[in-house]
This record gives sequence, structure tokens and C-alpha cells, in this order.
Amino acid sequence: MLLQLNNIFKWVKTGGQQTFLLKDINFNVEEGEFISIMGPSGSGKTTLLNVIGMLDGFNEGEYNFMDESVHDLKEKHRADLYKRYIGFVFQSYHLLDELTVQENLEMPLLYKKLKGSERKAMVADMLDRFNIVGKKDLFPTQLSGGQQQLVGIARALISNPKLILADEPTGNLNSSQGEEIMGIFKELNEEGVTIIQVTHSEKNAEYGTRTINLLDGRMV
Amino acid sequence: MIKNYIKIAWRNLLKNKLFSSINIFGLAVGLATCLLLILYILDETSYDKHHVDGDRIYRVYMESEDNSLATTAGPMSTELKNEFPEIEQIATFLKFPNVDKFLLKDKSLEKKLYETNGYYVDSTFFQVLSYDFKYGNANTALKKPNTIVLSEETAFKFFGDVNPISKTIEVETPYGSEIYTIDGVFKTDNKSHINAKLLISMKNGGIGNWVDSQEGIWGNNLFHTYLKLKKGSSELVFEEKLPAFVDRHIGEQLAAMNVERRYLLQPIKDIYLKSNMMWEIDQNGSMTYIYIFSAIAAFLLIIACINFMNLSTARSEKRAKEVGMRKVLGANKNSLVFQFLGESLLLCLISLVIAIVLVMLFMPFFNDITNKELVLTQYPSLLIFIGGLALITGLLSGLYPAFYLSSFKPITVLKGKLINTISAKNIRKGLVVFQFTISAALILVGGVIWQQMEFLQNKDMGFKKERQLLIPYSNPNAAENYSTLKNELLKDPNILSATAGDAYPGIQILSDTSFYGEEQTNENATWTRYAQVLDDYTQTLGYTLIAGRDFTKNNTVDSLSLILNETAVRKVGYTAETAIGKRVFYERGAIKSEMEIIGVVKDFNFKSLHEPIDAYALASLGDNQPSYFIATLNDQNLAATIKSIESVWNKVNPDTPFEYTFLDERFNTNYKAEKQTSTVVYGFMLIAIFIACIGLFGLASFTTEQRKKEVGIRRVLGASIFSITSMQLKDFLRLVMLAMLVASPLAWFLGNRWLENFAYRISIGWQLFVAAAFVAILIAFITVGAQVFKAAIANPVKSLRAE
Repeated sequence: MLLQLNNIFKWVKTGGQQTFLLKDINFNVEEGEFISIMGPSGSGKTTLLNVIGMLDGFNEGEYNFMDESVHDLKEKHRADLYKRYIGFVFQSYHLLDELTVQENLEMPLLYKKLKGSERKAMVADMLDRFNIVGKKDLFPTQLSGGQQQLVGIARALISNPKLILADEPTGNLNSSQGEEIMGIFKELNEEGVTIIQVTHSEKNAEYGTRTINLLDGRMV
Repeated sequence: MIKNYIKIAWRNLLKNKLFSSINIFGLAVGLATCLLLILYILDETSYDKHHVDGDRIYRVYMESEDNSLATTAGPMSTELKNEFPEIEQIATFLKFPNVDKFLLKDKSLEKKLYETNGYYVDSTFFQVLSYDFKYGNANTALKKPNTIVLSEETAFKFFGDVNPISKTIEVETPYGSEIYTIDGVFKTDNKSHINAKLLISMKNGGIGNWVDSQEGIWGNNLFHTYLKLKKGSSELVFEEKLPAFVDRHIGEQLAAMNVERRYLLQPIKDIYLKSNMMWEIDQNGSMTYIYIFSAIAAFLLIIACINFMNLSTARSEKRAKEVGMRKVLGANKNSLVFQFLGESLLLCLISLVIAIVLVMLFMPFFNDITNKELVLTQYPSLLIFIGGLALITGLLSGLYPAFYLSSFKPITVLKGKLINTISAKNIRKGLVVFQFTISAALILVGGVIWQQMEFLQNKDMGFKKERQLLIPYSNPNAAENYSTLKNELLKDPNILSATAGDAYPGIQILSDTSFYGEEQTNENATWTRYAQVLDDYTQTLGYTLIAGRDFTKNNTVDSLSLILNETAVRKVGYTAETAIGKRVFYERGAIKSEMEIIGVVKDFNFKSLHEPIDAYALASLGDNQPSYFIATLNDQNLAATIKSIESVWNKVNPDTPFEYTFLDERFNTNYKAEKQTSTVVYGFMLIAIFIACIGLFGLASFTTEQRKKEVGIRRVLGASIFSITSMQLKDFLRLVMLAMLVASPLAWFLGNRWLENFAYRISIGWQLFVAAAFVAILIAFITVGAQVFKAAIANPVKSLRAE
């Protein structure tokens, strides 16, 4: 089992009133699953994804990731954990505009303190795998949205994560670009990478093996 | 990794060219100004540091009830040396009154030139003060009578690169001409409050005779006395013995005159910066200016750093996304801190390079206004210091954005939300107000100085200072050929009037005596300065004769006549109407003499406007030598007239070189310090405004960015461009007005403090404050206007488009 969420609650206080963002979330994820989280706007999809990705905390409950109790971990350990095992893909790509495609891909490796030759090899691999060798020296603004997201996925994959968290990865793309991206996710999943995506689209959700529906922070 | 950081930093720099250049240039200007000021301060504080045993060398000065003199009486040094064994050596130095130009001639009379800054010293001078000799030997120099030591420059002017030791040179003053043997040439690398070009032995046939006559005369305080105490003797203990010494020698005399005199010591190292008494040898520096300049340097640097910090932070917030992304991708806090620190260091280094270029560019100009010869490489340690300063600036100004940004939660910044706490905003505003306060204060003080300088130029001085030609008139035959010269010159219709005398208004007048009227006694005699002049002096200089007459052409008739100014007339107990024909008396030792008042002139400012008008008299020069020939010129054909004067001059006085200045120019040298201050204050005013503008610009770009969404919403809801622009402008203007409010009393106080230097001064009017406020607002408008307007006309759809 990759991760397990037990009775997760998350709330914020606004003006003395408690607003629940997540209420009593329970589910397990096995390695190799492709899960889609769906629900209307404001239902807590992204919050849940961020909790899973350890970018955000929660107020109550237990979260075990690869047999580590995330809720008991210190910030630094938590960061180490997600850096090692989780890759993120964002709706608006979040590539660094000042860096070229190649340099964007290289960045996570820099923070892992890998050697230059190793980094080069891994980046070259990744460029190859996604067929973007020809674009390696371009800056993100010179690419189409689909291509940028491709780079975003490549960047998420480069450090060999076990889990990819994608927050509406096709939200900013047109349908054909979207399909291409979803195809890539499917392939990745078949190669054994666990994927959790947040999506609005039923069609995209169908790529997954399982769907979790949220409404007002609660699983339905 | 570092390569990656540098790459990012460099690309960021290029991406925001305007922003980066403003930021870098702002810091560079701050660093450059600071560097210049530090150079200046180092130079000013380097005076008299070279003397061997400098901490044992003192100057004796005199304090009486109403003033302090840098000088002492003639017998002082001999008597001190005789009575106090703790004195290792003592030396006397004489700046002879009314001689500010020495005419130097070589043997063949082929070379002749005027030299200033010539002083008479005794044979022990070089044993007390250290001079670095290029030729000759300080230990033996000036031991013999009629010897002279020259400065390097003077020697070069005369002899070129030849060693001039043992050559002779003729030195002519209004008191006669003497041949001197050159005993040495000293280097002028070391700075001293004595900026000598000629050091002449006191034992000589000319002025030397007068010096000898001063033996035993305690009333004439004209000699500077320098002494070196023996090792281990205390200056304080020595000073305490001096009152008894004074009592022994002049106690009775002082008691009779009912005055008190105290003699005290001042360390030689303090003279240049801290001493400002009567009869200083030269214009000294001022500790106040050192403090002011240090404060300005520190202020400018701090402000520049703060701006740098502010702009970096403001811009870094645009980079929040990068921070968030880096964190998600595995960056920890340290690596981000390191990255941002590195970036600001890089910017600082670029600033430093630009600053050094700026300093080199502006050095000649700065040297010109400060009258210095500063070189950037003069103090190698300074370059290290300023490099260190840039480094610290980089660290300090990088620190805040580094920690601020790296502490963001990635999830918040990735959402594009950056909530600024109110306190951070207020700090920014506070900084801008602070900067504008300083700028506004400098604008105000600059305004005060400007008004006062205008006032100094335009005030009716009571004499005519325009187009008055001053020609140094050092010539043994001057007295005889004066009439010939004058008559020849007056034939030219462009020369309106001509005269000669030993002084002119604005020069330091060293001749003085104490007069008392018929109804008074010597006890309440009036200390009066006087000039000795020839006929037409009052007319030429444009004094208003309100009673009596001018001196006649016949020298003997007026040898006992006096023309007094109104103040002197009042003080000796007469009025302008009654004074003519009355007598005044003066006593020298036991001899009582009398003179007759033949004229009264309206009060005029014979000194600079720093000082109130005092008692003043004109006496006839008689057969004595004048020092200056003065001619009033027509306002036409100035150059041609001067040419024709020169030819007449050379005909009549072939031995005296023709040199000239104008009275108004000479008079303005009294305001040299003020002129310098004003230039410096104007300069800093511009720099401070520039830096404050950068600060304001930073704030504006920051807040307009922050309010983008708000502006978009307002626009969508129907606000006009005008209302949005004025809404934002109002915010900035409020800050500027607040700054004005703080600056006004500060500037009022500082301005008045400065004005206290003048007996005649402007009063600071409200108009100045209104004008300064107007200027400050205008500047603020120009700085933020474009940005605010740009933000207002931006397409609201764009700024509202969600991430």
C-alpha cells in the first residue's frame, strides 16, 4: 500500500466560524493505481491533493505514506519524503520563465545534489522520452500550452517519483492537447507510476482506474 | 548549482532592464557619494599628522574676554623657554600684517613673480615642526640671518629642477627689499594648517628689524608660538603655570588696562579642524563640516541601501512563483537564502564598479569645488573598505528578501496570492517618508543658503565693489611714482578714479590702535582698525563722506589727520556733525599722541558680512609704501583698458610685475567656505532627491503591482482613468506632504544655525517652504505619475484574469 488516509479533517476559522475544507476523508491508494478526484468547484479537490502532496497540512486524522506516519513527521522530514517520492504537475505548468526547457528539467536534480554528468544524462533521457530534444533551448514562453505541460510532466518525472499528483493538468489546454497529455499519463501509469489527478472532466476521469467524488469536503 | 543561480540572476537582471538599472544605479550613486565624502573627510583629517612627536607639539593661544587670538606677543617664546624647563623647543612664526604678496626676483632680475603664503620664522622652527626637505637640511636651515626656505613648487617656478641651495633670491615687500640665501626646499606632501610657500628667517635686514624692536613689547600680539614639550610633561600642568607667568610679566599692564588675558595650549593636530580664532594663519577647516559630511555620507548610504533592499524585495515578490516552484521541486530554505543573497551581491558588485567609475568621472569636479587634490587611490585601504561596504550592503539588502521570500509557503505563492502584512507596507511608506524628509530638508536648507548667498552678493555694502581693479603695488619707489602713475592712468577716459593704500575692504586688516576722544580716557579707548591710504581713496572706493573732507594730494598736510566711520565717531563720543576738527588720542607705551578728525564716512562693511560693522579709520599713508593700487574702471572695453593700464604700468614701474584682481572677486573669497558649502549642499540635494525618487519609484511600482486587481475591479465597476490615477496619486502626495511637515522645522533650525555665522542675514520666510513643497510635489508627480497612469489605463480584463 502506497498511502492511507484515515479520518482526515481540515478546517479554517473565519470570523469565529469553523469552515470545513475536508471532512472525514478515508481512503487507501495502492501502488500502480490511477485515481481521479472529482467534484464541483470548492468541494476540496485541490486541498485534498495538497494534503496528499504534503504541501498543506490537516487538522485531524492520520496520514500514512509508505509506512511513515506523515502526521507525526517534522516539516523537514515531510519535505524529504515528498521530494523523494512525489512529483507535481500543475494546471498552469509553473515552469520558471527565466530558464530554458533543459534547465527547467535539470532543476529538481540540482536540489538533489546530483553530479553534472548524471544530471545531463537524466535530462537527455527525459527530453528523448518526451520527444522534445529540439526544444531544449527554448524558454517556456516560446512553447504552446501543451508543450509546456509536457515539460511540466517531464520535470515531475525526472526524479523518478512513485506518485504523481496532477492538479487539473489539462485545465488550460485545448481538447487535443488535453488528450495527448492524458495519453501520456495513461502510459506512465502502465509503466507502474501511481497517479492521482484532480479533474473536472468525466472524460479525463475515465483514464483512471478509480474515481473519488467530493462534495463540500466530504467523500460521496 | 551556482551556475544556475548566476544564470537566473543574470536573466532576471536583463528581463527587467529598467528596474535593474534603476536599482543598480541608485546604489552606485549612494556608494560613489559616500566614497567621495570619505575621501574628503580623510583628507581633512590628515592635517598636521606628520610632525615627529606630534602629540607633544602645541600652539600657544590667547583668550581675552571678547575674543581668542591664535597669536601671542613677541617676547613670549623667549621668556617661556627661559622659565620652563619642560619645554623642549619653542618656535616663533610671524605672518606679517598687510603683506600677502611677496615679490620674488632672481639676481639677474630676469625672473620676477609674486608669491603668497610667505612667513617669517625663527631658527628653531624646524626643530618643533617637521618638514620633509627635498634639498638642504632641516636641522641646519635658517640658522643664519637672511636665509630662506622655499616650497617645492616655488623653487620649481624659479629654478626648475636645479638644486637651488646657496643661490640667492631677492624678496620685496612694501617694507623693503632684501637678498636671501636659499637654505632649503621642502616637500609639500604633508598637509598642515600652515600652507607655506616661503619660510623666511626672522633675522633679516628688513622686517627683521621690526621683529627685533618687539622685544619686551607685550601689547602686540602678532606672533604664533609653537612649542614642543619634553617627553612626560603634561600639557595641563604646564597650562596651569601660565597665569602666574602672565602675572609676572604683564600683570600690572593688564590691571591698568583692566583686561584679562589667558594663555592656553592647543595641540597642533587640532588646529586645522578645531581652531577658528582671530589671526589664524590661513582659513582652517571645520569640524562641523566633517560631522555634517559624515552624517550626509552615512545617510545617503543608508538610504541607498534601503532603496536597494526595497526594490529587490518589491521585485522578488514577482518571483514568488519561482520560490514556490523551487520549494516544491526540493529547494530548502538555505539554498533559497543563498540564492537571493548571491543575487543581491552580484548587483552590489556591479554597483560598486559603476560607483568607482562615477567617482573617477566626478573627481575633478569635486576637487574643484572643495579645493582639494584628491585621488581615488590615495588611500588603498579605502578601496578595500568601500568594497567591504558594498559587500555588506549586498548581504544586508539581500537578507530581507532572502528570508522573506524563502519563508513563503509554496502552496500560497503558487496560487499567486501574496498577502502583504500591513506592517510591511507601513515600513515601506515610512522609509519613503524618511527619504523625502531628508530631501525636503536639503531642498529647504539649499534654499536658505541660496537666498543668503544672493543677499551677500546684492547687499549694499556701503562701498563700490564692481569694476575695481586691484594691483599689488610692491615697489620701493611706489610712493614717489604714485602720482605719475595716477596722472598717466587718469588720462584714459575709461579709468574713472584711482588711488592707493595698504588695504581694501574685505582683506584682513591688521593695523589697529585704540583711540579715545576729548571727553574720554585711555581706559575706555575704542579699538579701531585702520587703513593707510592716499588721496581719492574714499572717492575711488565709493565711501560716502557725510562730513568733512578727503585727504589731500599733499602728503605732509594730512600726516596727523583721520577719517573715521560713523561707528568710530560715535564710540569716541562725537556725532558726525560735531566731529570735524575734534581730536582723538592714542597711547603707545607711555607716549600719548593725538590726531585730528577731518572727515566722517558712512558705515560700510569693511569686513565680510559675517561680522557687524566696527570702528574703522582711514589715515594718510604719507611717504610709506602702499600695498595696492586701486582703479575704478568704466564698464566698457574692460580688456582694452586693462591692456592700456598694463602698458602704462610697465613704463612707470618696470621692476614690478603687473598683476591684478577685481575687488568683488577678492571680497568673495571671504565667502569661500560658504561657497563650498553651498555647492556641496546643492550637490547632495540633487543626489538625495535622486535617491529619494528611486525610493518612491520603488514604492510606486510595488503598490501599483499590488493594487492591479483592485484597479481592475474599480475600472470594471465604472471608475474613470482620472479618478483612479488621482486616487493613487493622493496616497503618494500624502507621504510627500508628511515629509515636508517633518522636514520644515528641521530645516528651519539648521538654516538658522547656519545663518548665525552672519551678522547680516536674511530671515527665512514662509515662501521658501511653499516653494519647496511645490518642488517636492512636482518631483513626486514626475516619479510616480507614469507608473500610476499606466496602471490605470491597463486593460482591466487582463489584470482580472485569474491564474
